[in-house]
Amino acid sequence: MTSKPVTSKRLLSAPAAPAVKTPCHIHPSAIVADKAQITGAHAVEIGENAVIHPYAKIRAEGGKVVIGNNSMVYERAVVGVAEGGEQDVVIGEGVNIDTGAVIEAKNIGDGSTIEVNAIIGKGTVLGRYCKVASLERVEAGEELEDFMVVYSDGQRRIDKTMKDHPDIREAKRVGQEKSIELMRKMLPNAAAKWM
Amino acid sequence: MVELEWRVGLDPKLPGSARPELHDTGKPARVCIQLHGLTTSTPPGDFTAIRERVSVIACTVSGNPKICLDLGRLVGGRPREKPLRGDRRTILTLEQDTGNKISRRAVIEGKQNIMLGGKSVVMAGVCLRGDLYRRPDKPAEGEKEGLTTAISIGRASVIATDCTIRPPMRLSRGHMTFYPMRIGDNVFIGPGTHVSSATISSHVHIGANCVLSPFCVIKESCKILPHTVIPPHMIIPPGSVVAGRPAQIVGEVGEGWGQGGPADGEEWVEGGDLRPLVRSIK
Repeated sequence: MTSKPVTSKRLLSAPAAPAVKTPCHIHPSAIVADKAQITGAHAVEIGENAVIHPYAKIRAEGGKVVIGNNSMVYERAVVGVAEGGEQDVVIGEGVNIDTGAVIEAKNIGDGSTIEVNAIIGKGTVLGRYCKVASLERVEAGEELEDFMVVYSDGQRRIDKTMKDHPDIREAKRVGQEKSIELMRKMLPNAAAKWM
Repeated sequence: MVELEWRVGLDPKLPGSARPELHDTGKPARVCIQLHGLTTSTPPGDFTAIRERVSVIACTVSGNPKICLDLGRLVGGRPREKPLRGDRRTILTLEQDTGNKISRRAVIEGKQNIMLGGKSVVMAGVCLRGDLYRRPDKPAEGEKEGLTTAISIGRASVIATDCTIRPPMRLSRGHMTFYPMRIGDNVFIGPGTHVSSATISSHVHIGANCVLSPFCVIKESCKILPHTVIPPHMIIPPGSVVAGRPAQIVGEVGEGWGQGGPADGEEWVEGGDLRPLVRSIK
């Protein structure tokens, strides 16, 4: 960070123009921010009402990436496996992927929440309504049951509240819808850039 | 002819950004500016930006004399007893530099909603989400839009590399809304942390790779050890040392934390005045 002018000023923060145009199927009601980064040669499918924040990275390099309806991918999250790993990443409906999370899972069930800077390894399968707390890791190949919570440096437990009370799940769904409604007002949609 | 454009906020290229706020005493004071016979009196916490070009007729200050000096500098010298004469097109440009250092590789969305106190540092790779601000409910009076601040950072605060600062969001009266976020003075935020707190008071030291979940409140002079995860809505009392996932109070900072000069070879001390650190960051 010097005061001398540097020629490559903003190249490091803005994504370079991709060599291959990613084949994207973005639902018309999805919101993809202008600064989101979608790369890779494989297909990317973004479902209804999904929200992709600026600087979120969807890399369909090792396989296709599917983001379900009503899901939200926050900034700096990385969804998809890198070049070399042959694996699709499928994210279910109503899934919240918080800032900085790295998702290389095979499947993330509906209603799950992956909190800040969590790392989900390759080939993992997360059940429905799972919650992975901040900074946690799910090792490669693991399978999490429905309603599993990963917390406090590697501990696991079942979220009985979610499991036994369908109205709580409904409340979560409504909350997610309201968040999406808010993001629609706050984020200008640039989905046309990738269609 | 000379015109006063009094702008506050994040725009390092523009000279004359200023922030008349009492950071040293912490006491609120009222700033009164008389504009064409109208009085704009605002408590300093809310003093964000006056974007219109107006002529300053007279500046009076009630409260702490320190503010008087600041304004004196702003209007170019001494507090004036006699009003400045001039028509609406007169301009008095403020030549003050706020001293904020913002890296070119910092990623800033919505910079008009971000307030930086003077001499703060935003290092490379930091993501500031100023685009997530609280929309005022009522429509603005006339044509003026309400001032929306998403993130407000105090003086001499340092935000190290690759942090993310995002205002917290929650359900309020049936709708999800973002709430403005306040970061105090002399706050050091370590590299890689995610900050979504409601407030961070002054003289706080936050270690590397922490996660501050939405709506947590961190009071004065706290120390947050690296790799802590602070759960949502947690209130951390002043002077505590916090660690763990989920965070727990593991101790207290001593009496003299932040005081006492830095050791040999160091320029600044944790919890103390961060201005030497700000100066040393190029």
